[in-house]
Amino acid sequence: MAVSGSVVTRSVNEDALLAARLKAGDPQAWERCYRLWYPRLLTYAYRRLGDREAAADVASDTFVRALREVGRYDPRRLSLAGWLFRMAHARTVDHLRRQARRRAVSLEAESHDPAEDTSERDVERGDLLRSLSRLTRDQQAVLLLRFYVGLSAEETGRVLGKPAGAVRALQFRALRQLRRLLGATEEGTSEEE
Amino acid sequence: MSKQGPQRDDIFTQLGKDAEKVGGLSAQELAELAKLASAISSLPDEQPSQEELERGRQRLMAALSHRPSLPWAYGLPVLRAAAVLAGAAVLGLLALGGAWAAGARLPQPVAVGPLAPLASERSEVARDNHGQDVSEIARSGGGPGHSEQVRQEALDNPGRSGPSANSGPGRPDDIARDRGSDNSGPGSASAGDDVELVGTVQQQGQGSLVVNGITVLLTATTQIEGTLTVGALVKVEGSHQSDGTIVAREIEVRVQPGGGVAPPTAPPTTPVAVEIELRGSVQATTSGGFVLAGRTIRVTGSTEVEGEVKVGARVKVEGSVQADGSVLAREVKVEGTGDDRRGPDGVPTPARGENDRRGRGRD
Repeated sequence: MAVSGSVVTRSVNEDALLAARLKAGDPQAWERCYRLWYPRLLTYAYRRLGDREAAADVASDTFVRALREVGRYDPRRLSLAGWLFRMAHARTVDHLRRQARRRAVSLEAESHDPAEDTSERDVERGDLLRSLSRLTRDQQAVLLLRFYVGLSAEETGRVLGKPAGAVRALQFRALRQLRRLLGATEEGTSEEE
Repeated sequence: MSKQGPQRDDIFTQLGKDAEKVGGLSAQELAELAKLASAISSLPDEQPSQEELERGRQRLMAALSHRPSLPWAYGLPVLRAAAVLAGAAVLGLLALGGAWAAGARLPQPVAVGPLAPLASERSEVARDNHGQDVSEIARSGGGPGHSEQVRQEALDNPGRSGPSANSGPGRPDDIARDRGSDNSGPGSASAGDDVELVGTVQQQGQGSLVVNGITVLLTATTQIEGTLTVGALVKVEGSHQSDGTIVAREIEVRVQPGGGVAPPTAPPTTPVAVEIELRGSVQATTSGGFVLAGRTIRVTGSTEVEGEVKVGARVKVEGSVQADGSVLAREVKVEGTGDDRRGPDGVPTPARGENDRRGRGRD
């Protein structure tokens, strides 16, 4: 027979493969997923909540929830990151709603005191975080999901429950507002000097 | 962990596309906003303490260990096999009843030899022809696992080598063909025929499954009901390919490894592309491509072609499986011409298609 006909298939979607292992309850896959995404989920929740302990709860809850719902996860609809952050976002919103008012410790709070920052880069980062904390919740969420997590406008829309067009408009409004806030910060700094 | 956020160039490109859709941004403003977005993308991750990380991990693993389906996947292979056997037995009874109701010829009891596969690994292929003719695959080769029907097929086609001659378990040649179908090759079903396969998922690969030793390819339009996992009992409907694979049109998960009935899942909205790599000799050329291993290969303007594709040439094809089972070639590489394909006596060996045509001519 002239035709050897050997067939090798591979999926272009790595999420689908990982999802299959997660659905099968493969502990190594869950461990890998946890190691990969826990710090980012923690950071996202922390930037939104300004409370390290609450953020850790959100990140941890996200995985337990993911374990319960992985059977319904469809990688063709949403990336693994988008799926995880959609759950984390929902938990963050729940947490914010439960708060009577935003805590005094806001997004600008880092794990260390920004006043101790000495390098120019650290100062810029501190300014950026302070300015981010003054944006609306939606603006914060869209900027973090789009640029910190790296989701597309469509995926960010699915996480936030908004159309992609609204996400695009919101991101530009947020970036302009952030630019204004950072400009004000720079002016204040130069006046002090 | 390493930062995995988008790169600065990507952000600028993405924002540029978004700006085109939203409008009202000058190039200078776009550059300024992209710089801000880039600064956000390079924010450092919060580094969880080891204790914090371990606490969350233990919580996850505890939840994982209490997950009902976990023991079936990893912990209790004996119980899992028993559940699959029980599921197969129930389905077998149901199938038997269905076949009886449809007036089909009932398969004869199958004796299982000492080296024959487990009962759950036996598979049935029924052509989708309204129950008029039911074929069966006996995966145990020429041993006592042959069904009466397979033997009858061999008797009806004395010129063809039956599955007992040289086939191992699960080989495509084991597929018994129903009466009246095209006799296109020795012991093989006709490519493109609708087939139905009920069996256990033995392997789950990227874009493919192995069900009772038969490779099942998933395409962009494959409809999947339920959650596919290794050990699940599934029904596959699709078209049989000449290389022995089945391109699945629909897969229904009937029994999960845990023994429960599979819950329905939301219908997919975005297809998963399935990449495929084929090697073989060109059987025929067409206006839009060629035929390889019984599969139509489509060549477009964006296909990279190395060498001259002609009948008999040995080629490697990389591309994606389309809804109709054809392959849209991304790359075609000619690895040799058909001219050097000679037998021991120096006479060129005919391609399979030529053999097949000769066989049919004699018929």
